[in-house]
Amino acid sequence: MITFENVTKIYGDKRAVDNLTMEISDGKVFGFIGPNGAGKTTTIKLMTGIVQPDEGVVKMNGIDISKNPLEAKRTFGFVPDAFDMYGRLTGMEYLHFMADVYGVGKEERKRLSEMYLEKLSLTHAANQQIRSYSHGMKQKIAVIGALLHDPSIWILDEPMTGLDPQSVHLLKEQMRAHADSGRTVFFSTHVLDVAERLCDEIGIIRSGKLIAKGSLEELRGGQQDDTLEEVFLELVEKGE
Amino acid sequence: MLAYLRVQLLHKLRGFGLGAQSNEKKSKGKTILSGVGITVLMLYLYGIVIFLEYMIFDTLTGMPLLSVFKPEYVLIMAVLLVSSLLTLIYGFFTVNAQLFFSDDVSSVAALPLSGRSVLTVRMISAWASDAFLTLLAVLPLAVMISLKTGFDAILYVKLLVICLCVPLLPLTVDMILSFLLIRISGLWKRREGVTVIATFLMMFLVIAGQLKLQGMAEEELSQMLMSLLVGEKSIVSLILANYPPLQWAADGLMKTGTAAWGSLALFVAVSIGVFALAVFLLGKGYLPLAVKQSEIRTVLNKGERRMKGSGDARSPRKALYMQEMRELLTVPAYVTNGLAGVIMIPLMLGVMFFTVMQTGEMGEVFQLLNQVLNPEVVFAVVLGLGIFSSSICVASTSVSREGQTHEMRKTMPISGMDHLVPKLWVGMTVNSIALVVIAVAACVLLPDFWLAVTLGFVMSQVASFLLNALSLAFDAAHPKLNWKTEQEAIKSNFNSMIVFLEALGLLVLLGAVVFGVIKLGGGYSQSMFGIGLLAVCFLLAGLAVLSWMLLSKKAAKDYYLH
Repeated sequence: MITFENVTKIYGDKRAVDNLTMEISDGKVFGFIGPNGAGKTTTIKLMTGIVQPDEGVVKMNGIDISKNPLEAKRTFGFVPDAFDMYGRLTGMEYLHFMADVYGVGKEERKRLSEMYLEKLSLTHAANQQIRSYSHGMKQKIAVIGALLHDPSIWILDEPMTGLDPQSVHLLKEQMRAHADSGRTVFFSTHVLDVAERLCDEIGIIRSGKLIAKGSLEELRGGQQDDTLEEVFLELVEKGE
Repeated sequence: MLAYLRVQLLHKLRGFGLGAQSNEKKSKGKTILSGVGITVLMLYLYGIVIFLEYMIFDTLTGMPLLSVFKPEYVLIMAVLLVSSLLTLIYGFFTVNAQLFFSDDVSSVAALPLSGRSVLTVRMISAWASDAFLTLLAVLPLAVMISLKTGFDAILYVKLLVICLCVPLLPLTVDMILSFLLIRISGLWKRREGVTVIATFLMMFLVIAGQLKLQGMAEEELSQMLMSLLVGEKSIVSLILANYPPLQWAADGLMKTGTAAWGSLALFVAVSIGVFALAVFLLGKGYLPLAVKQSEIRTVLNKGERRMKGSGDARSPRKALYMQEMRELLTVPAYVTNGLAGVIMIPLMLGVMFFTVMQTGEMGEVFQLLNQVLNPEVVFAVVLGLGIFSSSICVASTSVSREGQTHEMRKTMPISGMDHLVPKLWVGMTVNSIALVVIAVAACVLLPDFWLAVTLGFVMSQVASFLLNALSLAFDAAHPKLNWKTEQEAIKSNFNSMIVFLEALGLLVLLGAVVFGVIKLGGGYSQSMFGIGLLAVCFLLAGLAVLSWMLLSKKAAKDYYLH
């Protein structure tokens, strides 16, 4: 579970996240959408402990990430929008590093890394340096690295960007499977079609404020034929 | 923390591996060749260091009066002192960059690693390189001492311990300074500017130092060395007196018995203790500060008003010229490498001028020169200096520097020449700065030869055009576009080395032409020399025309092939 309680983050005189309160329960794929500069990435940074809120509390599985950062960080796996870590390591070395950081045992990491490498068709490249990977391959290795410790929360920042259709399909499958096993998936995206088909709940943010949250049916209100795109544009333009 | 430390060190080590310098995909042969080339260069530089150390060691130990002062140990302390100073100065930029300007800060901040762990690992990574370099610098001296006084294992153990600990205190100071500066000042805004200015300052000091040393008589040099290294009032002694840790290390090394080990233990304990304490105190707040620093550019862009452009319509060539110049003047890697040659020439001239002025003989020197020189020689010197200064051509990496934007540029509805001519202009603009300085300096110092200087300046511009066009054509045919950082775009690109060789080749060719003309004319005379120089002018003009044809016919097409 992810909980935001009156969370605000201010940069200069701009409120990047403004009094955000929301709860994402387990067993759901939660899509976070909004226009450019709305505060999606800042929200994710607050969740992952990269930045601290100026007001309010963020809790990951009930653990306040500001007060107990290390404990909170062990509950999630994070896939950033641009993976650019340690290009001179091979894929396997990176996975071993992530397994070491999260304390994954030898047998367990071997089993999971082989399984995920096979699933995401990355076995052939596991012993090549990451800097030789394509964007999609880097994204895949980041995904595997984030899942090795079997986190209860999986956070992804615009994961579909730059991926080919096959990789997108594999990733969606993985996200769905993760949520179906009773865990939480939180991801931000610009691809509304994917959010529409995949998400159990959607949150829409604009200018740092959460302007809507709920299932697609709830967001549609009375307009059951509206697509998410139409709902999104109506909500965003209404606020302007 | 250990996993993170392992990964940091492995990543750093791989940075020195074969083919690691560039992200450019190369053939195996080219990778091996560039690896061999870099290894040879490193060995050559290390050889120079060993040679210098041997010369000083030999000079000092050869002086019988100094034998009571154990000059070999004093030399080691001098090397350690220099190492400490270099770590303190250069280490600041490395530590600052590693702590607050690395790309993986956000990703690492999301991992279950404490700020102290991350700071410890990054500082150990910085320490590892400095400790290794210190060991490399001291090792030849240890060997020389062993050859002189016999092998002493204890000496090697002591030196190893000292070399490992010497960088710790300077790095601690660098770390504290980085934290302070990031915290309390707008240094981050000016970090790139500070880096550029500091680099040029360093270059100036190195050139000034070299010229000063070269200008000294051998006796004067020996006396200077003595005053630096030995005696109670030597600079080494003064600094050791004010920097107790190194004094303790010196005592540990040079003395014997329990007191020596005690001093050594004190040095090690203080070095490690202070380092560890600083990391402990600063570690808690490190990650938030580093993340804040990494986000500060976003904040700046959100908060500041956008700069308004003039809105003037420009031709594509002018627009590309302005864009190229702006980039050259604002990216630190391009400024320090591209403009370095431009700055270096006036710097060298200024330092030479200053050195001569100091002797008080300047007026007489140039009076004499005005009398003995002739216009042909002045023309040749100005042209030669002009060609030499044009050997650093920013055009030689101009296409490569486009990097990932090259693809987008090829989609623009403009011809290959529209892309290349602005780059040529930029190269010539940059070279012109040095050429103007040379010409003005020559006119001021040799006012009687203003015409020869002017002609020399004009032909230097022709040579600059030739070299820029050739190097640009080469870069258009062989661009290195897959770089990740601007530093890599410049440093891993051997196109700039090729233009340097072209300039040398040109000087040799022109020299050969003059020599040939003189030979054919039956020997040296001022008139034959003048005819030789006239032939050089025609040759330069002809080569310039050919280089233009190369650019317009071939390079303009090559631009679109990659």
